[in-house]
Amino acid sequence: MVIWTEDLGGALARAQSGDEAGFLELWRQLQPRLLRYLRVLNCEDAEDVASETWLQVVRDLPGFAGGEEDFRRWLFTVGRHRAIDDVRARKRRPTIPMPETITAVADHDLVEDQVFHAFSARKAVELLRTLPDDQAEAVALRVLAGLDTPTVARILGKSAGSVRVALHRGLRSLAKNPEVQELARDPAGGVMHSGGGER
Amino acid sequence: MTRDPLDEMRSRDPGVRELVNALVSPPADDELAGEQTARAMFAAFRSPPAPPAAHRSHRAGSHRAPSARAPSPRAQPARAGRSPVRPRGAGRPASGPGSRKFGVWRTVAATTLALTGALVLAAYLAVLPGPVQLAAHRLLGQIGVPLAHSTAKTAPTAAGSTPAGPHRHFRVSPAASSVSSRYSASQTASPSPGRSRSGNRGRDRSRHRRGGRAPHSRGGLIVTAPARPVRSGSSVHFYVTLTEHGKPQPNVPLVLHEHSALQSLYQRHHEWPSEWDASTDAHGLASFTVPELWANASFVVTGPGSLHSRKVNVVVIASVQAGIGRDRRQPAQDFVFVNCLLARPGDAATLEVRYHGHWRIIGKTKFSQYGRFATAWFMINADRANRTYRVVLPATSLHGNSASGPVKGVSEHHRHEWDSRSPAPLPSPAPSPSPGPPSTSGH
Repeated sequence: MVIWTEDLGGALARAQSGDEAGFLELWRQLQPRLLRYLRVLNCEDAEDVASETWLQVVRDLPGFAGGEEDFRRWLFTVGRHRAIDDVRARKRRPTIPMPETITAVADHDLVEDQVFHAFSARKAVELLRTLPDDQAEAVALRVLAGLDTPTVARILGKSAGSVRVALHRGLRSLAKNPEVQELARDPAGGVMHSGGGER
Repeated sequence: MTRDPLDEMRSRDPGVRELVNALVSPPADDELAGEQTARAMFAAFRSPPAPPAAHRSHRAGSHRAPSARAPSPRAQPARAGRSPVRPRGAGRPASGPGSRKFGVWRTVAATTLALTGALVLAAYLAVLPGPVQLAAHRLLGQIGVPLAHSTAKTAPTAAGSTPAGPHRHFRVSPAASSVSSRYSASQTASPSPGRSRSGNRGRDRSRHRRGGRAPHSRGGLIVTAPARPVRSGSSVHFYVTLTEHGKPQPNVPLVLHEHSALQSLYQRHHEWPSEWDASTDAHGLASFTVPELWANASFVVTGPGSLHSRKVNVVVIASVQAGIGRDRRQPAQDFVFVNCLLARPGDAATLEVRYHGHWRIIGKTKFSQYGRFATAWFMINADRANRTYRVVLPATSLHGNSASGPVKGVSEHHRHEWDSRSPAPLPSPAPSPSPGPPSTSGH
C-alpha cells in the first residue's frame, strides 16, 4: 500500500555497515512519517521526540537484525515508547502552553507546492487526531508506518481482530467527517485554512 | 479471507483516499530540517571504536547524558571485546586435581595481596581507625605511613589541577589548552576562536571542580548544533564528541553555556548565564537539550581545565501571527495586522500575496509600539476576497527570516457576518492582548 521511493532494505543494510548515505536515505524516507505519527499521538514537540527516537535507533543499529519491515516496526515502536515517555514527563512537569500560532515555518523560498503539501499533511494529521486514541493510532501505524494489521496489533498489544475493528470504525468515522468529504471534492484547496476562521 | 478495512475504505470512499494520500504526501521542508543533526548523530555513533575492557570501570561514576537512553533489549548491539559466554555445564579444558589445588592457592594469594595492599594504602592515606593507624605507623613508619589523621591527604598535583573530591585526584595537563575545537560542517556558526578561548579560561578553572579527565593535545571537541534555523520556543539538541588521539574520552564533565540575544538586548551584559551539564559516555559522546530557545543565541561548551569549543550561533524563526481585519471607517479597505513577540518598534515587515504560485511583495512597513507589543498593519483592498497573503519579517538580531502563515482575504459572506456583530471582531486568533482596528494604517 505504501510506496517507498527508495529501496529501504538496501539503505538499511548500508546504514548498518556504517554508510552515512544509506542512513540518510532511511532517515529521509521515514522521518516525515515518524513526525506525523508522533503528532497523531499528541506529542507536544514531535521533533524532539523524533530526535530521541533516532538517537536510540542509531545507537542500536549495529545490533539490529531484520528486514525493512522489521526496521519500520522497530522505529515506530521506539517512537511510540518515547512519545509515552514524553507524555509522562509533561504530566510531571506541567507547562503553560503558548498561544497557538498560525504557522511557524516559512522562509523566502517557500513556494505554493510546499505550502500545500505541508498543510495537507498537517490537516490530515489533525483529522486523525479527532478520532479516539486507539482508532487514531491504529490508522496511523497502518498508513504512516505501512505496517500490516497483525504487526500493528503486536505493537499496540492487542489482538488483530480488535485492531481491525478499530481501523474500520476509525476510517468510517473519518469518511463521515465533513472535512474529509470536502477533501474529496477539492483535494488541494479543501485543506487550506485562512487565519480568519473562514470555512 | 477478511478484506483489510483500509484497502476497502480507500477503494470505496474518495475522501478517505485523499486523506491517506495526504498522510503519505511528500515531506515538507520543515520535516527534513533535522537532517544535518541526524547526519552528525550517525557519524558520532559510527566512528568511535569500542572501548577496551579496562576503561569500562570508569563508567561507574559517570552519569548519562540527558537524551541518552537505554537501548531496547531486542536490539542490543554486539559488544566488542566481550568474552564469549561459556555454556552452562561445560567443563574446564584441563581440570585435574592438581590444577584445581593450584587455582585455590592462587586465589588465596591474590586475595591476601589485595587486602594487604588496600591496608597499606589506607594506612598511607591515614583513613584507618586511630589504634590501627598507630600500629600501622609503628610497623610501616619508615615507608611514610603517617601517625594521625591530621597528615595531608592530598596527592601532589601540577599547577592547574582540579581536585575531584575527597578521594579522587586528577591531574590536568597543561596541554589541554591546545585542544583543537572545530565545527561540523552543518553549523550556522560564526566562530570567534581567540576571544572565546581566552575569555573563558579563568572561569573554567573555577567552575569545573568536580573532577574528570582532561584530554591532552591533538584531541577534538566537536559540537554539532542545528544547521538550520529552529522555531522560536522549541527545544534544541547539541551533540558533543570528545576525543583524544582519536580515542573517545569517557566520563568527562562538560557544560553548555547559552548567551541569548535577548540578554544582550535587555540586560546589557555578556556573561553566559544559562548552563547545562552533561558527561561524556563510554563513546566520548554527550548530548545537551536546551528545552526552549526563544531568540537567537550563542553557545559554547566547556570542560575541565581550559577545554572549550568555539562559539556556535543558533538562529530562530520567530512566531509571526497575522490576521485580516476590517476598518469600519474605510469600508473599501481591510487591513492585515501582524504581531510578533520578537519584533521591536522600527523592525521591518513585508506583505506578500500569492500570485500564480509565487509570493510577491506588495507592501512594506515598520513595526510600531501598540500597548506592550510591537504591531504592524497593511491596508488591502476589500474587494480582493480570497487572495492569500503572508507577512515576512527580515532577520534581526533576535531572529532569522520569519514569516506568518498564509491568511486569506475576507469573502463577502463573512463580511456580512462581521457587520452584524458588535463590537467589530477580528477573524484571526491574535495573541493576547490583541490589537483593535487601527485608526491609521501602515501602507
